[in-house]
Amino acid sequence: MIKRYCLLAALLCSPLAFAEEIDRSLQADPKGEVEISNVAGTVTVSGWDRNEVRVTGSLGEGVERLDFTSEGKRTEIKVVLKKSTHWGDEGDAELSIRVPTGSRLDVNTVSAEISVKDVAGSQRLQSVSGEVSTDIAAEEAEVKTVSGDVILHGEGKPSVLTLTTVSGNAQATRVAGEITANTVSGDLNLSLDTITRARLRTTSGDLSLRGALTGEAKVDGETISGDLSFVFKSPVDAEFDIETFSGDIDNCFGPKSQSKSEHGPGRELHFRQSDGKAQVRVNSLSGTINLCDH
Amino acid sequence: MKDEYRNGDEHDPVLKAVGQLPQSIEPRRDLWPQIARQLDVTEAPRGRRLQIGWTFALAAAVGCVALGALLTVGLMKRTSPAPANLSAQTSAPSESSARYQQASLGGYAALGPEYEQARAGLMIGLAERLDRLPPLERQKVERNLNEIRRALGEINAALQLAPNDTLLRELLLNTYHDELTLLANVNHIADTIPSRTAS
Repeated sequence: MIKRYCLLAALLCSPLAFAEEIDRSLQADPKGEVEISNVAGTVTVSGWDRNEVRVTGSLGEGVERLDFTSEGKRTEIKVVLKKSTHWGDEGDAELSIRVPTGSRLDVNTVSAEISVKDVAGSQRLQSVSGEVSTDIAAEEAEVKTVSGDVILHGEGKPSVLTLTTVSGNAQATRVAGEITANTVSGDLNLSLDTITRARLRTTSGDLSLRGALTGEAKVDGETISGDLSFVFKSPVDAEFDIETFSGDIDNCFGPKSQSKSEHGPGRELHFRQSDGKAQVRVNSLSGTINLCDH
Repeated sequence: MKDEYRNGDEHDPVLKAVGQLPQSIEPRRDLWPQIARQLDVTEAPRGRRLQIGWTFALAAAVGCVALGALLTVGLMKRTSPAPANLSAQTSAPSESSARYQQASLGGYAALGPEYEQARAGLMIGLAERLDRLPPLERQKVERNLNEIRRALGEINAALQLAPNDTLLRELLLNTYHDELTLLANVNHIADTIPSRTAS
């Protein structure tokens, strides 16, 4: 009996007890822009074949209201918190949003997780600490976090991706085309079907890139103290310029790296594999560079 | 050639006179030391030329960083909404959040005024912007700013030992650019953070 009272009390005290359920819809342009803004909780977006935006979910006790408007090509969904709400208070909003497949997305959260599926338009996703997960069917996607982790899934179609984190880790699978990734201390684990252009930079985070270099692909990698690992699909046709100030270079194909000078700890490795059509240039201060094919 | 003249028409007075010329003339004094000195003198400007080339390359690189910084700041300003209260954002960054040091290149040169201007512009109101982030994230940003500054210190120290290392110069300039990018990104994220309260 006491247990039941405790359970009831716990339920009444939980944020869900005061949650307000929402279910609203508005007509929207099939290729319009959908702007979503939430502080805490979740934002789950998925595309569908209707010219309509539908928002379902729940708003926590700390939420003042949900602004939901659609005008012309622009739809806006914005969670507004009560004035008394502070960080860590119950300002959670769990939003599940259906948008026309061709929509362009602009999502902005503080700690709310972002998840996107089946959206073909460009995506601009930004979170301070929430995890961002998206299926890349778009031509262009930009993901930015401070500490939130990033998970990207592609379908092997060429796209242009820009990925920036401060300390969040990022993982990409089956994406293709052009990728620019930059982190200070996060780890980047990128697996691309095909690579046409990759600009990758970390300060102290580790980086791993796997994929097949297309004809005249260009890969630039740089780290200060992180370790960099590159695995390219065989046969590799590229020219390599690898250099470290004090880090090691390990490679499983091509010639072995050489010492830059008689007394210095730096290593360098310059060689051409096959015709050398693609270009791979990697620099490091003290991080180790691994190079391999598979 | 001379032998041809000697064996040629001996009746030609000109050829006869040429044939009577001595085959070599010894200089009255040893000219080599002076030539060697001249060579040394001509080597020196080449060294200077190299140094000028290096300086130009460095200036160009610094220019690129400064230009990149200005572009980054410009783009961020364009994409960010105007800050709500500009006067409130001119506070100096806190001691822990940003130990502001002049950007140095291995201790023997400094980045130009454009770079410093861009950097100072991004530093203005940084503390206030950091305050808009959740406390844990603020700490993470500060930790990562310090991480970049630690990396800058490390590269600068290495540059003092190897001032001609082009890899170090490139890493240093890129890391300064990273610092600006991080500052610009934090400013952008803080400026576009979803409003927490009803307007």
